[in-house]
Amino acid sequence: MAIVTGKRNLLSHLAAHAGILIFLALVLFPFFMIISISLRPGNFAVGSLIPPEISFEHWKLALGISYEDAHGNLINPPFPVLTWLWNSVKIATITAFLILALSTTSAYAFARMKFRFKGAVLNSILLLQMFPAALTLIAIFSIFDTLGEYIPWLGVDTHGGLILSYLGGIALHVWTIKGYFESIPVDIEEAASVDGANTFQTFLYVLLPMAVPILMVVFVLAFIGTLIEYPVASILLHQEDNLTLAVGSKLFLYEQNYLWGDFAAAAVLSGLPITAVFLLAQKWIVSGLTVGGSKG
Amino acid sequence: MAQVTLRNICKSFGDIETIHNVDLDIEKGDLCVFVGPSGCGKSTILRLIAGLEEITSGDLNMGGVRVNELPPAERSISMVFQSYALYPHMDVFRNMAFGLKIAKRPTSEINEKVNWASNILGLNSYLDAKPKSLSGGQRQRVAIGRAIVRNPDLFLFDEPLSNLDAALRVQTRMEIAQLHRKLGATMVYVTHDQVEAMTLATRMVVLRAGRVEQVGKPMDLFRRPCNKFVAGFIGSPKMNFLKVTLMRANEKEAMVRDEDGTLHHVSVEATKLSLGEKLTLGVRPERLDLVDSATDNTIKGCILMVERLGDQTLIHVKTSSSTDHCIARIPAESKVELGDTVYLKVKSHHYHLFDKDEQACHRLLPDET
Ligand SMILES: Nc1ncnc2c1ncn2[C@@H]1O[C@H](COP(=O)(O)OP(=O)(O)OP(=O)(O)O)[C@@H](O)[C@H]1O
Ligand SMILES: [Mg+2]
Repeated sequence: MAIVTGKRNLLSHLAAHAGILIFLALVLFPFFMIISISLRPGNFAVGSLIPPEISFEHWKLALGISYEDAHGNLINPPFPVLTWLWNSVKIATITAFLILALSTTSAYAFARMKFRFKGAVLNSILLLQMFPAALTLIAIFSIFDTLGEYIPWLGVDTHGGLILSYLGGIALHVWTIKGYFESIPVDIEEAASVDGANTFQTFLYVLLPMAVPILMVVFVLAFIGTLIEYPVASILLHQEDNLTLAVGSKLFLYEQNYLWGDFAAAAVLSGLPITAVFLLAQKWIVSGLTVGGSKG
Repeated sequence: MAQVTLRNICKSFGDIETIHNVDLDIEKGDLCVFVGPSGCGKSTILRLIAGLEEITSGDLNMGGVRVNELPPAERSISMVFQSYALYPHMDVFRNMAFGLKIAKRPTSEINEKVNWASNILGLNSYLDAKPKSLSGGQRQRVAIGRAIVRNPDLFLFDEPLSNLDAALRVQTRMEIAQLHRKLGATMVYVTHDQVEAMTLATRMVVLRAGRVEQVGKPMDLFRRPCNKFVAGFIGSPKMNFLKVTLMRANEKEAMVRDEDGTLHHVSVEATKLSLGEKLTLGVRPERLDLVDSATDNTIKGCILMVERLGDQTLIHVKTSSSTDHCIARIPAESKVELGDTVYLKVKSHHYHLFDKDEQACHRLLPDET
């Protein structure tokens, strides 16, 4: 802090810290609760935050390890949680990359190229996206059911089909990236084209490197969005081995028996890839990449 | 054959036409300087030539081929932008090397060229720096470097020296002149600086409000401006103008009377003028000499301001005929004080005369027959 502040600020500092602590508690409490549930023996949703007794039974099941219960019965993992996790990460990564590729290129077209009906197209893709996805589920199912008859690897119960269905949801990302592109002075790209670069080279070597922060933001958002997506995945995927973690972990909560402990362990597990991706992306999300190119 | 020809070029932004029917030939090896007041369309014409703006109507030819529809990358040009437009994510070296890399030149050539340019421009110690850590002048030099490492058919410079200090400006101006001579390159150069324009140009183009006013060698434009605008725009301090009335005219001389009643004999071809016409008399500040008393060809006035520049002195004189006050450039040792009344004498062949439409009368200069 370089700026000089008076003594009176001490009070407001304390107030600010108190506010932040309260906010943190609000955010973190459910998280600690989940961890606590996953470490408690038995499947109980309620109980004290700090479990009186710690047991790794739920984690063993989540990680696919069998264990012996108090009566000496061998309990096998009911579901392939690790496979689900792998499915989720695979689908989310591929989807995020494809979304990034599609939305940057279309954002480039919308931000920099001139064509007819640009404004109309731009607005209508956004409006169409507003339509709740849950209401289109039947349509999505029948589309992919039919598609699967011609291209099997894009049909129902395939990861290819699911990824393809996610690629429809790029309108918001296109808008985000387009807004960022438009904030970059166009004369830098003009300089590149005078330097002999064609449109694609200008896009690749000049515009994209300056847009890295927003690309990272979009990647993270797309990754998280895909990882936690439930409705579409739940109707397109059926076989147990094919499920994503978001769909699969719901199986712990069947009518007669809510396996809260196993569910909690799976939930914590599904948070790990998000954390990892976010930590990786964070160092690229920096400001000021476009400073210094143009005068004024 | 001209390297670049502009034929009847017009450019409109929306409904507003900013460039009107520009015709221009730029010969191979020319260093063509555009001058004109701010907003007159210098940058716009440069961008039209570069292909960064679409031409609304007219033909642009380069090397005999119509290039209206050719993208910038295929026009073999390099350009220094008024806004520099450096690549902010690349260091200085890569900024300068970008065009060569795109053209897939060998690494040894790239290194050699970039080092040569950074030597000339004094950028050696900044090769690893990103543009954002450079000063305005250093950024401008990077922009110049980026343009000169390549070997295009046409260089476009948009006020390339505007942000450099005086010493560096003189030095870089020399480098550009040398570069021009050595490469025999064709250049188009925009500047606000009178000295740059006069010293660099092989051809000078004076623009006003999107129109070409006059094209020619710098000295021709200086001696024979075709109208009052060009006369006032070229030269610093600018030419003085007096309101006068035509008393007598023939093919050798015009005699005019200013508002004091003093007569001025002007060596111009004045046959087209009609007696009694209101005219404008022009005279450059350096052509005014202090004299003791009023005769013909003198301007009488009262000193409003004295600017001593060391080697010379500028006096601002209030006269009854001039639209603005008159400025005279006189020897530094002249003893003048604020408030003095002075008489300034002009030789007949140093006058310029403009008719009521501000067009110049043909001057009869003594060294021409
Ligand atoms: N993209 C644009 N859209 C609308 N008007 C424009 C555009 N670019 C330039 N103009 C207009 O064209 C005119 C000429 O502008 P230009 O930049 O060519 O002037 P200039 O002679 O280079 O001035 P300066 O010496 O200040 O750089 C100005 O009136 C400007 O408002
Ligand atoms: Mg300009």
